[in-house]
Order: sequence, then C-alpha cells, then structure tokens
Amino acid sequence: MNNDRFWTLLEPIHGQAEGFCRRLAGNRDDGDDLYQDALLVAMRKIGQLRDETAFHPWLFKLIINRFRNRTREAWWRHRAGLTAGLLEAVLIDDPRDKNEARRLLDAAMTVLGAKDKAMLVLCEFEQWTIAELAEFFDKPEGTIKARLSRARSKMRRFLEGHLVKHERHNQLSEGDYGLQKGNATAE
Amino acid sequence: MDCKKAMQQLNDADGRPSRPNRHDPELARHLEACPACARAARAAKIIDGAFKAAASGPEEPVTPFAVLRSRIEQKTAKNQKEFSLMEKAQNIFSMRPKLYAGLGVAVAVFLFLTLVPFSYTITTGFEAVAQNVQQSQMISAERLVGAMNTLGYENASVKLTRSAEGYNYRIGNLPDWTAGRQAAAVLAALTGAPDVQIVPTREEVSGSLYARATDDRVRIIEISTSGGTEEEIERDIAAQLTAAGFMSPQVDVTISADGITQISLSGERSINDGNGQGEEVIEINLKGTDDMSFEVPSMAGLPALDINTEGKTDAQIKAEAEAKLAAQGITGAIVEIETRPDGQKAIKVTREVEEIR
Repeated sequence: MNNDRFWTLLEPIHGQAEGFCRRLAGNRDDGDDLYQDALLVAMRKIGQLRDETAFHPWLFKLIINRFRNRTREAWWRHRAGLTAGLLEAVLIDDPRDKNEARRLLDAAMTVLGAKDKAMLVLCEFEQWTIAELAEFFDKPEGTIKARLSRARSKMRRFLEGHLVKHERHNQLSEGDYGLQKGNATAE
Repeated sequence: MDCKKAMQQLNDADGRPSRPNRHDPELARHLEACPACARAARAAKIIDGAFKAAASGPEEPVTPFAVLRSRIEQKTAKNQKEFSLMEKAQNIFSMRPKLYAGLGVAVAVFLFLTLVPFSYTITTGFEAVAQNVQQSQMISAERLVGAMNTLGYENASVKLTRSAEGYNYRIGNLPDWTAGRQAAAVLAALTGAPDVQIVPTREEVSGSLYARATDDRVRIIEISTSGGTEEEIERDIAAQLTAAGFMSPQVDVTISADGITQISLSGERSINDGNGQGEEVIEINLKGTDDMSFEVPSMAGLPALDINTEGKTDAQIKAEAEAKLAAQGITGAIVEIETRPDGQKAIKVTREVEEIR
C-alpha cells in the first residue's frame, strides 16, 4: 500500500482520530503530538495492514498503543503529574462549563491505566456501544462492562477522597458541612 | 436498603451509559440517611455531569488535513533513514506469512544438521601389517619403535604377537598413507616379510551430519615416488584407490631415466548419489619428479542399502530396508517401494524434519 492510499483512508476519519487523541491525552497540544506520533508509526507499518476496511480500528489501536507507551515514559509521567496541580478542579460541584469539566476529568482519570482511559473515552466521548468496544478490544461484552464500571468506580473513589478532605476543611473554617461552588480551596 | 446494596447499585450503574439505577427511590431514601453513600453518589453524579459537559458544546477546530499531511510527510522524509532493518523485515514477514514457516523449517534443518549427532566411521590413520613372518628370531619392539622415531614418527605404536604360522607385526598410529608406506618399508627391511599391507584405521565417531559431510568431503590419494620401484608405486596407488571404493583400478607408472615419473590411472566405483545407484569413473594422468597427490570425492549420500529383492514382496523389501536403516542409526525415515515399468524395484527413502513452533 502506498502513501497516497494511506492518506485516502485517513481523510474520512481524520477529525475523529484527532479528537480521540486530544481527549485521550487530556489537552489539545499533547493530543496533537500523540496524533502525529501515531501517524508516523502508522505510515511505517501500513504495509502490515492487509484489510483496508479495518483501517479505522487498526489506527485507533495504534493510537492507544502509542498512548500507553507514552504513559510509561518518564517525561510523560512527570508531565501527567503536573495535572495534580489541577486537583482543585475536582471540587467543582456542578461542572457545566466544558473546560472545567475537562479539567476535572483529566484530574480524575490520572488514576486510570492507559487502556481503561481509552475505553472510557471511546464510550463516553466517541459514543461507542458496548458491542463495538467488545469487538474492538476483542473481549466479551461482560468484561467491557466490568472494566468500565471499575474505571468509573476508581474515578469516583478518587473524587470521594477529595470531597472528604474538602468537607473537613470547610467544617474547620466555616462550620459548614456543605460544599459550595466557588468556595473551594486547593488542597 | 443497606450500604452494600447501595454501593452495588452505584457500581452497576457505572458500567452502563444510561445509569438507570441512580434514580431508584429506595436508593434515594438510603442516601438521605447515609452520609458516606451520599458522598459516593455525589461523586458519581459529578463525574456523570463532567462527562456530559465535556462531551457537549463546540469542539476545538480540527487541524486542516492538507496541513497535517504536509507536516507528517516532512517528518517522514526526515526519518526515512532511521527505519530499522527489523521493521522492514517485520513488514516483509507480515505480507508473506509463509516465510515464517519456511524460515522455521530452515532453522530446524540447520539445527538438525549441526546439532543432532550420528555415529559414523572415519579414517583416523594407517597401520603397516606383516603377518605370519617366518623368522628364526623375532625383531624387538624397541628396534621397530627406534626405526620409526628415526623417520620422525614418535607416536608410532608397535604390537608383536606370535602364532603357529609365524610372527605378526603391526605398526600403528601412523598419521597418513606416506607414513604407512614408510613403516611398511621398515617392516619389510627388518623382518624380510614379502608382503606388508597398509591398512587404514577406521574409528566410529559421533558427530552431526554437517561434521560428517566435512570429514568425508574428499579423500586425498598420496603418491610417494621416492625410493620405490614402478611396481611398488603402482601397488600403493591401487591399494589407496581400492580403499576409496574403486574396484580393480588400472595403474601404470613409468619412471624415465631423467627421474620423471609418469602415472596414468583409471577406475570406477559404485556410488549412491541420492537418486539411486550409479557408477563413477576416474581417469587421471600425472607427471612429476617429486611426491604427488590428487583428490577423489568421498562416497556421498545415504549409506547404500544392499538388498536382494529377488523373490521378495514389497512389504518384505520395505521391512528389510527399514531394518538396515535403523541398524545404521537412521530412524523415522519413510521407505517406499515402487516397481518400474521394466520390472526393476526402486526403493525411495524419505526423511522428514518436523517443524516445532
């Protein structure tokens, strides 16, 4: 398969793939970097793709693998660790603003592995069905449901921990057990 | 509802995009009464809201496709030289999966040839033997050893025995045919034996097929022209050719007055070249004043199966062939018997190497 054919196959799913990378990486810059990195590898390995109709899942798997490799690298871990500074975002009680919501999710998803994060992003943002995820990850639907549930539970417990700390903080400073929007302080 | 059931409902809802159980009235009543579960439900609600809010609204602009393509192609051109050989090999193999099988078989054959040991015999040296020598007194071993040492063969061994017919002398541990010839001359001179034979020392060794092929590739026929008569040289060459499998070789040696030795020889032998029995013929002419040598190919292929097929059924021939192969250490071979149109029997022996992946 030549390069022109590669670009022809990519064009219809370009926006979707780029958006997936941005959501997976947590922000636009890192997402675009991940996308370019994945495309460079995809161009090298395109000869291994025998069935052109499988280009879409093949590219997404490659993106997930590249993301997983990145999360293992020291510079990425250091960079991901910086998002811990955004932990105040988890105290947004009702995140209706898109950017606030993303900051909150970005912080809460730091507790997930790369594959679980990819699964959750595909489910929540790309609107993939359980059946589609099962086919993509080559797992039974029951396993996919269990993994999604586990991933969300992890995020929930992470958030609960911060809610408890925040409640204590408010209790000490204001004598109020409730959490009020805009009243949050960084931990 | 207790806390366990409430948490179970929250967890179940986490696995389903619609989160149906979160709106259960019974769960709501429990959450009002239990702060811990209420906190968990609140955290779940915040995450739900965050996913919903993050997925809605305008998306960030997509990079124009042409810009992306230009950027990637520039980087690709820059990195082109960095493609590793391994990646190229991976591409080749992924496009041609049969290459994996072929490579596997090649590796298996290579390992079989180089690692699996077989027993076979090789010529490790020569002996000069004089038997039934009629003498009044036996020549001492020390004297024979001394004579061989003088000729430079310090490792030569001497064995003496006596029988009713006479004395038997054997000088062994001789490295090559020339040494054997010199030892034979020593024996003839000291004992007066009319017929001293030079016999090769054969030893059974264990080695791979590759080692065997290397050992048996060629056989060097050495001709020592110094000090011998035409008849002696002819007899030496004929003996070596006979040892190499040539039946009734014709050797003619002429030594001219100016010391030039002319040798012409011919012979033929049966060989098994893998396709069946055949004949190999050699004709060699040599001319020189010094010692000479020439190479003849060793007998190659599988060991010949000497089977008399007359009056035997195919099954009997097959059983006999398998038994003879097994006796030579070759197991697992497939033996097939075919009858040719002219009535001759052809024995086909196939050996398969199984690939283990």
